[in-house]
Parts: sequence; structure tokens; C-alpha cells
Amino acid sequence: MANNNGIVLKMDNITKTFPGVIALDDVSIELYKGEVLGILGENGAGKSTLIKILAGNYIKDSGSIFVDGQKFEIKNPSEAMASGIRVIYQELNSLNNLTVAENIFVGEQLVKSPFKIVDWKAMNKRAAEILNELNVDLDPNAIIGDLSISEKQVVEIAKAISKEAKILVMDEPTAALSEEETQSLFKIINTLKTKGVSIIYISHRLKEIFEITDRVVILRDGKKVGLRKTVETDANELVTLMVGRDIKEMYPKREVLIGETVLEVKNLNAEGFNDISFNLRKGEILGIFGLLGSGRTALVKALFGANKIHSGEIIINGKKANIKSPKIARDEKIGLVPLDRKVEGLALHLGVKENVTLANIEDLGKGFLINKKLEKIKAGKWVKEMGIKTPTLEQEVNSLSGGNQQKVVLAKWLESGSKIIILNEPTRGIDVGAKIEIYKLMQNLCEEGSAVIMISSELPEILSIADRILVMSKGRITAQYSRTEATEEKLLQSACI
Amino acid sequence: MPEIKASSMEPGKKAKISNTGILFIVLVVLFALFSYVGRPFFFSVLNLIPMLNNLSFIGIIAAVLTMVMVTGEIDFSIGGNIGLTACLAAFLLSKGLPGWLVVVIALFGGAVMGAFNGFLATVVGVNSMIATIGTMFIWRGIGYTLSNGESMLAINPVIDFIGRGFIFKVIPFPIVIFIIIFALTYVVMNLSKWGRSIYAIGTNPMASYLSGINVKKVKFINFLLCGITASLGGLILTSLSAVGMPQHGQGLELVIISGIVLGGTALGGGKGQILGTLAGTLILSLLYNFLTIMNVYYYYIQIVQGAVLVLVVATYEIRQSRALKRV
Amino acid sequence: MAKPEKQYSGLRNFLRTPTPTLIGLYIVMIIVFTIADKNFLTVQNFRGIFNNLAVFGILASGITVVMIAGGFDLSIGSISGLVGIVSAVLMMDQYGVPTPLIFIIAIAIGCAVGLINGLIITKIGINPIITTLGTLAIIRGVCYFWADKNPRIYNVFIQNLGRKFIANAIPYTTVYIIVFFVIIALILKFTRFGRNLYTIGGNETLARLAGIQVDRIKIITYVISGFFCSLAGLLLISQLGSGRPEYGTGAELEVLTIVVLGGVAVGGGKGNLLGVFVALVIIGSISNGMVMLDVPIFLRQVVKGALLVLVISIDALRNRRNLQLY
Repeated sequence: MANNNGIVLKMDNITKTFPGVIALDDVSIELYKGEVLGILGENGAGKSTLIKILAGNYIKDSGSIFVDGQKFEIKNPSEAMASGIRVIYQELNSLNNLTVAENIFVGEQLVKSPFKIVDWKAMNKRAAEILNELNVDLDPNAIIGDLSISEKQVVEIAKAISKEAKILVMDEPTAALSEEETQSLFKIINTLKTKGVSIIYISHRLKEIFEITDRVVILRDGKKVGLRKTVETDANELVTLMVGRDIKEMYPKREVLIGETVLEVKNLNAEGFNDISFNLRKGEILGIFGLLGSGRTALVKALFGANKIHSGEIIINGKKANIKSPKIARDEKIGLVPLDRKVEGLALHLGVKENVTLANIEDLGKGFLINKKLEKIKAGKWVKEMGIKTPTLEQEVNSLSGGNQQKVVLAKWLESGSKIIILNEPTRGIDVGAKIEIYKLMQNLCEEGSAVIMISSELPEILSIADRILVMSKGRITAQYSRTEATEEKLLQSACI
Repeated sequence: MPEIKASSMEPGKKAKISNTGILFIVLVVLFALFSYVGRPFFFSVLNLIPMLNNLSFIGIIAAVLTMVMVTGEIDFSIGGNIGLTACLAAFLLSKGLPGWLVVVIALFGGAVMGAFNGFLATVVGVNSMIATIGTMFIWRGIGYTLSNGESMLAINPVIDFIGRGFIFKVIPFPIVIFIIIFALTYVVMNLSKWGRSIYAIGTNPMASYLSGINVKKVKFINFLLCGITASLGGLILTSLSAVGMPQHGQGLELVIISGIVLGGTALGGGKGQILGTLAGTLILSLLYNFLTIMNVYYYYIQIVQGAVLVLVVATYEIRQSRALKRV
Repeated sequence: MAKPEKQYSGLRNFLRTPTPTLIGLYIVMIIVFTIADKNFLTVQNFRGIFNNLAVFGILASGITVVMIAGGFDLSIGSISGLVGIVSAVLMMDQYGVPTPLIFIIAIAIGCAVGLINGLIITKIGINPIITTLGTLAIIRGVCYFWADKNPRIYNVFIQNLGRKFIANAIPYTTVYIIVFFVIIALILKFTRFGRNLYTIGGNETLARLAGIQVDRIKIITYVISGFFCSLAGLLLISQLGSGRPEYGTGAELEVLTIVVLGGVAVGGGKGNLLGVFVALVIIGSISNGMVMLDVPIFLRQVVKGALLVLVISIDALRNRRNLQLY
């Protein structure tokens, strides 16, 4: 076992490309027995791709993987699992109709002889034990669909540690957890370490990286840009490595005159949040911070008419608006750059011009028909103005890079004349250069008199970009800070109330 | 900085024949082959005119169903719709209603059927594949109930004209309907705002909805149009056969849907061309007409129809997964 | 350490399925039907209801397995028709095929067609509804190869199979249904295979990530469905006394109604056989009621189609996720 100086996993020169992006470029990591290796990077740095390759979910283009010194071609998830690799995914993958215990033992139900009968009693008992270890009070027989997001995440963790794991990969396991739950998780991680389990811990929260990891690998734009012993580095160095340039350059400062109120939300209630009141002013970037499941996405969906509002008022430019559908939101000049642009923002297999004009098909000519010339002029204007890199206007947006796709989504709303732009994690999955461009575009919008709401879970980003930050927790606004008041600690604290 | 070259539209594209082009070549080859093997009857006015008439009622339904399918929905109830429309028309004629009124009521009936399918698919949110299998049984069951399972004579000047009349004394009226509807759907799908919404919805319904497109409305109206067109097809068939019977249109959904998929429309929506549908439907009606005139037993033709459906969809899926692998 | 006082909520979970509602519904139906017609609640009538349910019940147990795993099978009526006519032809005196061999051939046919369905659906990746709609047409066409034979069933064993009663009250067929339902229910609840069906139906990607051999299991479900189609085919010719190419036509309509009414979700991941059993009896009683009320035969077809649309609408409303949006 320990013949390779305790190296349990070696990933050498891994490269993986997707249409339009190099997700991983010649990345190598080593993982020692019983250590916690942090992988740090901003959204889109390649962290998720790396672990998906390790889990057999993606096939690498080139490079090699060694487990216990043996070369190992991981072709599918079962092979990865058979060699003791367990992954807790960031996207929650639960079976909503089944019980907690079943979800924990999915695919590997406990059975008893003689006929390999599924042993429900043992499964429920073992599940209760694991949940107990995690210090959570969950009924193994509860139906997953009834649980909160943080409870679901705990079940995912329980699922991964229920089986003998040699290498445990955690992809942002605390994204939905409170401070207390996070501490329980860290206790578990420490216990697993003493049992000789090696852990890859992915996060972009620096605090956690310092608290739990032994070493940390920093990725940026698909490349490995650094490897540090956690005790030998500090936050400044890590951020600089992650961002790749001076913070000031990364988040350009701006001076904008903030004008009159354009959006006023009063006592809004809907599925996922309660009693939300705030206002937004012309020229302002309003940040919303919160953990996964805090209600931030539900809030912006409701503002955009995609979720039903139960009570409360939305006032736009002094007039009460009844936003019952995205169509009405669009007519009220609200635009939404959604969380998952591929699923919610773009018609991937249509061209750039079709996507830029998607929210405004009515204006593509008089009457019933589309004026193809007008369409080209309109789309061409935005492509030029926003610097969208595409060979032609007809190019399928699928083949554009993440940053350019995001610009297309933004262009769609500018084309329809939106004055209030809501961006949900706008820089997720795009490279650093494109991020800066998106920030600049947001600032230009404000200068031209629009107002922006930006949801972000990246602390450096929201702290530097937003003029004002609302913090949400459990469906309520728990704090509000101006840019000068806000700090990382304050935001995280308010997010866990 | 971006470089937009209006001249080089698609840089990688060489002079390649489109899939639709290939289908039309296949069509010509098949036509020549069948004319030779099926000589002398296949290539004779006696066969070609009825074949064109048949094609016309299949074709108009296929054209409008393409619109439904590009949004990612489907309608299996078209055959049942035809059966019910035929019986309804004959039933109303037997009650002494004037021909024009019968046509109006029949088309209205089609609209109701289409609207009901649309209601199930959009408001209730039922998978339209299953919902329309259910309604298919309902429509045909009502047809059987109206006609008591028998065929009813349907002779009336107006009805006669729909399937057997001529414009300018030479062009069969069904062909005129066929050309008009194909031209209309072509314009809608390729040049109109409505068509753009249809393609957007088929490509990504969620993104379309979140871009302010009224997805339910577009889908609903497509179902409605499909219902009306199917009943128009039912009227043509009634006229051609001079009887209304509940078995009319039985199994036609297999032929029409195979033709549409052969023409390049994806079952999941988003992709599809009216010209492709035209080519696909032409090829299949040619094939089935050939089998019929070669005196192949009806149930054996059914075997071919089922096999063609599976084969056509399989080919499509295999090409899709190959294309994915290439990426 | 585990806290033994943890309350397991198995019963509560059962109460949340549609099954209790169905049981309640059926009790109401019995009361209403009995008031409407004294002859409803008699051994004689229920004997008939249950005997008529044989074919649908057998088919329902197979398709339940397919549907829980997220599949679909429209070809069940055709497969049982094919098995029926082939077996009937083989039973004709001139061939002299021994009964056990007929059984083997019958089951082989059903399983083979199921296997083909499964292979097309998983290996080529065609939508199961389209695939089985195609195979439905093909198999029904094949049935007509023997259209001119019109074989009658004289084989005593086969005759008894679907027509005999225990103590002149309980049909043999009811015993089969109960035995098969219990076996399948146990498989669903107490085997890894059974639990994996729910995982696949609930979230296929997750099933693959969990290392479950999704394709293989799905293929097996179609073979199971084919197996039950074979049995149903034999029961068809037993009860009808002859082999005809059109036997079993439209059975998929009724079976789907039963299974979805029983709480098996269209799209998979949900369902239990107790619910399907209650739904089976409900649909059987409705058919029986329509006969007793002398509803014209063609109108019954309309009612059955409407029932299917109704139950799938309920299913869609109950299981809808984000569908209300667009």
C-alpha cells in the first residue's frame, strides 16, 4: 500500500476540452494518505471538471491517473467507486420519492442472507448511526422530497461516508450548511483522516480552506497556478493566485451617481421566502448574498414573474406592477440573467442572432413576418458593442465560450430595453478575463441609468462590485450593509442566522 | 475584438447537399424504381391521381403536425380525429344539414379536439405522447358510437368537391389545399415571428419562457391548428371515399409521424423543416402506395409501417449520438 | 450511537401514497353500485369481475415493473395476441405439439419480443413510447400470418387454465394474479433489483453515478413484461376458446389506465402493487357496471379512453415539477 511514499492518488497532466473552452489544461495533483487537499479556485476554474474526471463522469482527453501507484483508466462511475473513490457532488442528486435511508444506500442496499434480501431494518439502523455521527436529527424513514436543501446536503454527505471510502471528494459541501453544521462536518473529516481516508476538499471559502486543509492547490482558468502548504500561506497570497492579478484591476472601481428609486419591494411573500422588503435605485448595483437554499434564487424568480407571488407589492418607477409572468416582467423592462445560462438563458442550438433577439421577437419587423435584415442589424450591434467573440451571427451559441454566452444573455435583455437587470451568479463558469468584462458591462449599464441586482456567493466579488449588499438566510433578509461596512465575516455571519 | 464577416456565413461549410436534398433525390429514385417495377399501373393517371389525393390529406396534417413536433410535443390522435370527423360529417349529412354547415361543424369539431389536446398538454401538463394516445381512443370511440360501427354514405355537392372537385377543371381541389397549407406552414416556420417562437421553444422551453415567450399559448395554438387540419384531412378522405366510417385514418399516425421524423424533425423538438416533412411524407406515401398496388396484404403493410417508424427514429438517434461523440 | 427510540415512519409513508384513497374510493363504489343494483355485491358477480380481470391483471404486473423504472410498453396487447395465436396454432391436432413445449415456446416468444424492445430502447436510445408503438404495429401485423387458420382450443389443460374455479367461487386466474402480484411486490420491496428500479425511474443519471447497470436492468424489465404478455396470451385463448389475430387489441389502453390509476407515476420512480391491485378491481368493476347498465359497446370505448385521460391528468397534476411554467 504505502510503497509510493503514501501517495494514494496521482493525476498527471490531465487535459479536458469542451466546445469553446479548455476546461482543464495540463493539471497534475497528488494526494497523500490521510490528508485533506484543498482545491481552490473561482467559479469556472476547472475544479468541478477535475473531480468529474476522477469520478468517471467525464473522460479525460489526455493525461494519466494512478491509484495506489497503479495506472487506472476510469471509464465510468462504477469503476471509480469500485476503487474506493466517493464523491459528494455540488448539485444535489437525491431521489425525492424515496426515504433518507434508501438514498444513503442507493445502489448498494444492505442485504442479508440467504437470498440477499434487502434488510430494511439494518439499513434504517445504520443510516441512523451515520446521521448521528454527523450530529443531525433526521428520521431515516423521512421522504427526501420533504427535506430542506441543507438536510439534503447532509444526506449526500452521509451517502458518501456510508461506504468504505479511500478517497473522498467533497465539492463545495458547505454551500448550504450553517456554521454549526459545517463544524460537525469538519469533525467527521478529522475522524476520517485518522482512519486514513484521503480527502479532496473543494471550496472557494478561504476560511474553510485554512481551517480544514493540509495543502491547497490553486486552479485558475483550467490551469494549476499554485500548490501551497496551508500553514505556509495566507489569504492574500491565495486570493492573488486565484484571481491572477491585482484585486484593484480585477474589480474596477467606479463612481456613479445613484439616482431615484426604480424598484421598491414591499413585504413580498412567496414559496421560498417571507416578508422581503427592499428598494433599488437608478445606477446602483445591489448585491444579494446567502447560502444555497436561503431563498435568493426564489426571490429573483418571483421578481421576474417565474414564481408565484403570494402577497406583497412590487413598485416600479412609482407604479404598482402586477408581475404574473416573465412576459410581464420583460414588458416592465426587467431582465434576468439566470443561474444556469444553458438551461434557463439560452436556446443553445440556435444562433447568436436568434438568441440576442429572443426576448424581443415582436420587434423584429412589422406584422407577422421577421425582417431578417433588421434582425442582423440589431444582433450585430450588440455583438460589436459588447465584444461578443463569435465567427458569425449565425454561429450556434453552444460553441461559444462561457463568457461570450453570458454576454449573449445580457445582450438579449439590453435588446429588449431592460432597465432593471437581475443577474444570478453572473460569473459562474467563465474565465477571469471574461469576468472582468462582465463587471465592466454591469458598471456601464449603471452609468447609462440602469439598475442592477446581482446575486453572488463569491465573497470577494460581491464585496467589491456591489454598492449595497442584502444578506438572506432562511428566506428572510437578515442584514443590509453598504459597501464600506461589509466584510467577509459580517456577510457569513448574517447568512447563518 | 469581434470580427463579423457577413460574407463567410458558415466557414466550415463546403458545397454539401442538405439532408432534405438527399431525401428529394431518394424520392426521385424511388419514384423511378416503383414506376419500373410497378409498370404499367404505378405510373398511370389511374394511380397517380388517387395517390396525389391521398398524399394531400396526409401531407397537410404532416405539415401542421411538424409545427407541433418542433415545439417538442406530439399528437397521436390525428388518426382518431379523422375517423370521428368522417363519421360526424356523414352523420350530419344524414340528418339533412347543408353541406357547407357540415364542413363548418366538422372543422369546429377538429378545433375542439385540438384544443382539448392542447389543454391537456399545456394546462394540465400531461406528457402529450400519452395524453394523445388516450384521446385517440376517445375520438375513435365517439366515431364508432355516432356511426354504430358502420360506414355511412356521405354524398353532397360540397363534400364531393372537397376531395373530388377540380379548380380550372384540371387541378384536383385536394392538391390546391395541399399546396396552400404547405406554403403557409413554410412561411410560418421559416419567415415569421410565430415560427421563431416555435423553434425557440423546441430548443429550450425554459429559456424561452424566461425570455417572455408565452410557451403555453404557442403550444396550445399549434395543437388547435393540428386538430383543425386533421379534420380537414378527414373531410378530404370522406369525400374521396364517399363514405364516413370510424375506421378512417386508422394507423395513419404511424405513417405521418414516420414521415415527419424521416424529414428530419427531432422527436424532442427544436429541429425540423417543412420541406423535409414534405419529402419524408412523399417518400412514405409512395412506398405504401406501391405496396398497396403490388397487392400486399393490409396487415403486412402495417408491419412495414411499424418497422419504418422504428428504423427512421433509430437512424436519427444513432446519428445524434455520433454527432455528440464527435464533440 | 444509534438512538433506538427513533421513530420510523413507514406507515406514514404508505398513507401518503394514493393507495388509501383508492381503497376508500372502491368502498364508496361498492356502496353506490350495491344501492344501484342488488346483484352487484354477489359472489356470482364478483366471480365474473375477477375472472374478466385475469388478462389485464397479468399484463399490469409486468408493465408496473417497466414503468417504475421509467419505461413504457404499448406493445403488450400485441405481444399477448401473437403468443395467443401462435400457441393456438401449435395446439392444432395436425402439429401434435406437447403442451409443455407450447408453454416454453409461448414464453420464449414473449420474452424475445420484450428483449428486442429493451435492446432498441436502451442500446439505440429511442423513446420507449415510439419504440413500442412501432413494435405494436409490427407484431399485430405478424399475427395476421395465421389469420386464415382460425384454430379452436381443444387442449383441456389450456381450457382449464383460465376458466376453472376453486369451490365454484374463486377463479384460478385470481389465484395467479394474487401469486404474481405478491411475488413482484416482494421483488420490488426486498431485492436490490427492485430497489434499483425505483432509483432508475427516479433519476437515471444518479443511478448511473451510483454504479447501477441501468441498461441491463431496463432490458430485464421489458423481458419481464414480455413474460407476462405470454401468460396473458395463453389466458386469452383459454378464455375465448380460440386463437384470433386481433386478440388483445387495445389492452394497453386498459392496462395503462389501471397502472397509472394505481399510483405508478408516468415517468417512473413511484408505485406499488397494492395500489395497482385496487385500481385493477376498480376498473374491472367499472367495466362490469357498464355491462350491467347496458352501456353500448362503442360508448364503453369512449369511457375507457376518457378514464385513461383522466388518470394521466391526475398523475400529471400530482407529480408535476416545473411543468406549470410552460
